[in-house]
Amino acid sequence: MVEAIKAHNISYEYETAAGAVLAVKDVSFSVDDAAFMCVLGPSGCGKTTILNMLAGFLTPTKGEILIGGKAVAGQGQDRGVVFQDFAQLFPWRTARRNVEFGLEMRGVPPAERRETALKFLRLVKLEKFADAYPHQLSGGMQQRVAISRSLAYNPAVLLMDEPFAALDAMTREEMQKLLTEVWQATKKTVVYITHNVAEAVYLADQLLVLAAHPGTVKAQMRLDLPRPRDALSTEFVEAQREVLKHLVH
Amino acid sequence: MKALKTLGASALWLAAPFVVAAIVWELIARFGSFPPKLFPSLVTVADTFWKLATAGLLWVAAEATLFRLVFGFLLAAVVGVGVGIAMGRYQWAEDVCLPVVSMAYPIPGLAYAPLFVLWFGLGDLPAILLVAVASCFVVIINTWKGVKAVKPIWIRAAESMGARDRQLFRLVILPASLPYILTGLRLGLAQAWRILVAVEMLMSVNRGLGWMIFGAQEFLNTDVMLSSIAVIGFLGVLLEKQVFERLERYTLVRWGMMAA
Repeated sequence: MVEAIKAHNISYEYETAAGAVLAVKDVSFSVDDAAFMCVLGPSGCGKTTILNMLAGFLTPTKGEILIGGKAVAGQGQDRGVVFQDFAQLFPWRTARRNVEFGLEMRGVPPAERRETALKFLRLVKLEKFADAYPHQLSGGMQQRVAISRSLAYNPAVLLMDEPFAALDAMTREEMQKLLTEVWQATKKTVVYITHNVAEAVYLADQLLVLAAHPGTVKAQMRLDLPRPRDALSTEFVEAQREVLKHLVH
Repeated sequence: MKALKTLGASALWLAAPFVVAAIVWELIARFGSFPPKLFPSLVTVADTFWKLATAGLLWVAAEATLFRLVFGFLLAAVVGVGVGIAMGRYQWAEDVCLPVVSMAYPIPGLAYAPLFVLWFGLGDLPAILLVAVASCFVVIINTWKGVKAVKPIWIRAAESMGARDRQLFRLVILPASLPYILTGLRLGLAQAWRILVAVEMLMSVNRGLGWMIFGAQEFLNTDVMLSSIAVIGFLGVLLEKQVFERLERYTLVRWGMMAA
């Protein structure tokens, strides 16, 4: 199996007024190519810090991250990032123009840009809303636009930081289903941050369970439940119980 | 019919405060202790306004004033937004400019007027420059604050999609700080009006609304003064409605960054 992402003994120390705080300590993991990995852990386990290092917003104080075999140095178009905050979309651009942004940065001509953007909006079932501004869309729709925006310029890896955490339960379930379909259609490697066990078991092939203060790896596991997954099946509940064991001491 | 009724009602509401003010004015003019020459009835003012307008005098004055206003203000807008963005984005620019800007901001622009006369003589040039200097600081300060207030998540998202310096400025920072920039431009324009009318009184220009007000004082032509003041009011409303509100509707309101 090819490894799309490899993190080797990464640590991150924040400088605060009260002194240095170790947020992440000696974390190592790898993600298979085209796999869906969930990073699961309680608050304070440094999961967002890990994502920010993968995205290149933060540089590990120790250790190294390889993406596609290359060491990460700052942001790059080989990665797409989806945040939790709905406000991540640019309010001054329509859904389509938001999705075009990455292509625009790459100098893709307008007609081609438009076509690609519409293709990716279709993927998240929003082609009808291509000309709507973000404030005219619901939270779930905005997150769908954000997903299609970060896929449109064809990064190898999609990094997602609790993208559905602020949505209501029903919308969240729909979104998880849609994301699974999008992932299967695009074959991206996904790193998905969550603190929700059921969500992790629903989405993940690979699971990285973290412990807090400082963030360390508690367990790494693989989930090979058949897809589409049924959250009410015995295997699903069994898998949740297995994961929970690592989270409660 | 119903639409016409509501339209009529809203027009009535719009007119009400003016009607009340006019009645109060008229009462003072007719029954107050001022001589009519100093506190003219609105009928006299309207008559004078009409005469000045048809003779073209008001337009000549308004044109001269608008010319100075527009050029001075545009200069302030370009310099102000540019400096403000640089200050918001680069620490060194903030370190260099902020002390100067904070110090210059509270100084009334009029304080420089005599200096500018000595440097640039009389006429349009010193007036335009003075308007620009007096109104640019409020634009700088608001733009600077606007850039500081840009949501970091927009910059992060843009950078993760490959946006670098110039694209980041043009495509993210500029639109994101537009609410503050527009506020700064509004305040700047108000400042420009204030300084310009005063400057026209001081700098012995030979045309303009401020000059007209000042010149009319010598002959106790209060009706002429009030006519010029009314034109300033009209132009102010016109600029607000036709330029700023239009711009706002086209950008901030459409983008949901401001309530309609």
